[in-house]
This record gives sequence, C-alpha cells and structure tokens, in this order.
Amino acid sequence: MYIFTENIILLMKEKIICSDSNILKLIKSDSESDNSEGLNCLYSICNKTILKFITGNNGTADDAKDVIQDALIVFYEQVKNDNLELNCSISTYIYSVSRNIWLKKIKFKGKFVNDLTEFISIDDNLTDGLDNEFRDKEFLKMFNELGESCKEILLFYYYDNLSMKEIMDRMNFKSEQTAKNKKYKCLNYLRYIISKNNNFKDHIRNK
Amino acid sequence: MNSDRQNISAINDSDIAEPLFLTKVIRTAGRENLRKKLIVIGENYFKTHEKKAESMGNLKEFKTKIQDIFLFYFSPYENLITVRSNKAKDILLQEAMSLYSLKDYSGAVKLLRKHLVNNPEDPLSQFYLGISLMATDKFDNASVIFKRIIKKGNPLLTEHSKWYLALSNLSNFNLHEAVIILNEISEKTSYSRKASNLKKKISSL
Repeated sequence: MYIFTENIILLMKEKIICSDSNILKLIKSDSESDNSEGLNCLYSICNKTILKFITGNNGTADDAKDVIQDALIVFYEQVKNDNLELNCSISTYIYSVSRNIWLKKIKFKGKFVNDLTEFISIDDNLTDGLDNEFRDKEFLKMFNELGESCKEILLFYYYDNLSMKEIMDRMNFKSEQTAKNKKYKCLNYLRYIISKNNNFKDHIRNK
Repeated sequence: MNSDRQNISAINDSDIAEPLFLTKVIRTAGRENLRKKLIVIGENYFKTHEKKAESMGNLKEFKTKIQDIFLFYFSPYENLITVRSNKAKDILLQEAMSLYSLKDYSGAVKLLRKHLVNNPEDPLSQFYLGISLMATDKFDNASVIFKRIIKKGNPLLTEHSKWYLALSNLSNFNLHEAVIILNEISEKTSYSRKASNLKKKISSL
C-alpha cells in the first residue's frame, strides 16, 4: 500500500542529489562513492534524451549506450582535469557532446530528428580519439603488463587526479612519500614496457 | 606533480613522442576502467527504471481503485434545509441551497461561504459547505469543516460528518486516517454497516 510513497520520496531525493552543483562536487571529490553517485546522477539526467536522439537518427539502443558512455567519459575527464567551462546545464552539455559524437560516427550532414533546440557547439578535439579500437587494444595490452598495484596507482594519480594523501589512504601506504616512490617506479616500468614495443610505434608512425 | 598531470590533458593524437605515449596509454586504461563502471551503472539504472515504471503502473491502478471506491460510497447529503423567511440573511442561504439541489456545488460553495460570514456558527450550513467542497474535489478544506463540526459535538451532525470526513480522507489517500474515523462511527447509526463495508474494502487494497 505504501510502495508508491517510497517511490515519490526516492524521486524527490534524486532531484536534490542530482542538481548540477552537486554533480560537479561529487565528480570532483576524491571519494569513490561520491564519484559513483555523481556518475549515477549523470546517467539518470541524460539517458532518456540521448536514447531518444540516437534511436531517432539511425542508431540502436546499444549505440545510444556506447555514445552515453563516451560522453560521460569526456565530461568526467574535463571535470577531473579542471578543464570544464560550463555555460549551460550539465544535461545540455552532455547532450551536446553526445550529439557531436554521433554526428562523427554516422558522418551525417542533414537535419537530425528528435534534436533538442538547446545544444552548444563542442570542440571536435574533445571527442577525437574515443573510437580507435586497434590502438586501444594495443595500449591496454601494454598497460595490463603492469601489476595490479601499479595499474591502480597510475590510474588514481593520472586519470582520477587523486591527491597523494588519498592514494596513500586507499592503497594503505605508510606515507605519501612511499606512494610517490611507488608511482615513480610504476611509471618507469610502463615506460620500459612501451619502449619494448617498437613494432607498435613503427606501425603508428606509418599509419 | 603538476607537470606529470599536465601531460594527460595535452594529448594530441598525431604525436608519437614517447612521453606522450605514456600518458595516452594511461588515459586509455583509465577510460576502459571508467567504461566498465558506466556499464554497471547503466545496467542498474535500467533495472531500477523498470521497477519504478512497474510500481508507477501499480500506483495508477491503486489510484483508480481508490477513486472507484470513493465514487461508489460518496453521495451528497440531500437538502434538508427549508427556508421560509424572506429576511435578507436567509435569502442567501435559500439561493445557496437551490444551487446545491441543482448540483451546482461550486455555486453553492460561494454562497454558503458568504452566508457563513454573517452566521459563522450555523452548523447545517457548515455541513453542506463541507459536502459541496467534497463535490468540487476540495477535500482538505472539507476535512477542516467536518473536524470542526465533530469537535463541537453537534448531536445531529456528528455521525454524518464522521462519514464524510472518512470519505474525504479516503480520496486524499489518507487511508490510515480514514479507517480510524470509520472505527469511531457508532454502531447505532445508519452509517455503521456502510462504514464496516468500506473498512473491509480499504483493508483489501
């Protein structure tokens, strides 16, 4: 009898948590659970419009899922690197990025259907390089030659932009200096792995 | 530390110098990691979304059931007010109850309110105002009026007011409140059987 009341409460809670300012706080945060909550919010605010747009313009639901993931990756990286200049709502921004991604994918020159009237122009550089399967496979192969703790520390530091203190806490290092040293060693090892792969570099050079 | 991180954002796909290779590799791995998280979030989102849609569907069904029960039991009390005088204060009441009898409940609300300005303690007018408000879907306002009548303990109107207050609560989805009031309806009144049946219907929801 009271299930519907629970859902109304959940919907209201979602509205408060998923405000634009809160989403930015959650993604910028060093806390993993905050980041997850932020990503959840992003999904819930943009999924419907992007799904409608993609499926209305020669795409499938799976295409839409891929495009949403790519758009959220762009957004995440922009926020983490402090590069985001937001002059519109987050949902408009992510829609605009998705639109840009889809436009490139299908190389469409006509008029889209189900297109929102509000979108901003997105720098192509932002969405370049999201879709290079060959290169990604090779890069991942090299990265996966590292041990788990090396992979973790490099991602935490370079991708998630965590502080040394947060990394020290998450990975149970004795001190920040220990964490720094570990990061340095792992980076050097990755350099070594890449330098071994001369064939790959030649291939890229010649592409 | 900052110069290390700056490499991440200064990525140029055509650049194949080794330091940038390094950051490209890390970025690719970071994206792969993030993509895996997003896949899980996406799956959970769709599962939750389906559950919400299902329970919103159940909510609609639930609301319809409540509305059906309300319509089955609600019927405006017949007009028992007979106004024989030609005094000004009574003409307004006369007109109000004419509208009430003609089922113009919003018209009746307006005139009954005007009448009550000068006759604030007239319990019968209050009672019919309460019913007119229910007939125009103003259940909160109606509830206030019936509660007032019940509080004053008017011997003629208390049991009637309890019945209509219970129905107002039902229509507002205050089912718990509705049942409490129905329990207070005396077994000696004409409402007792209806109250008992209504309680059974609410409990079965």
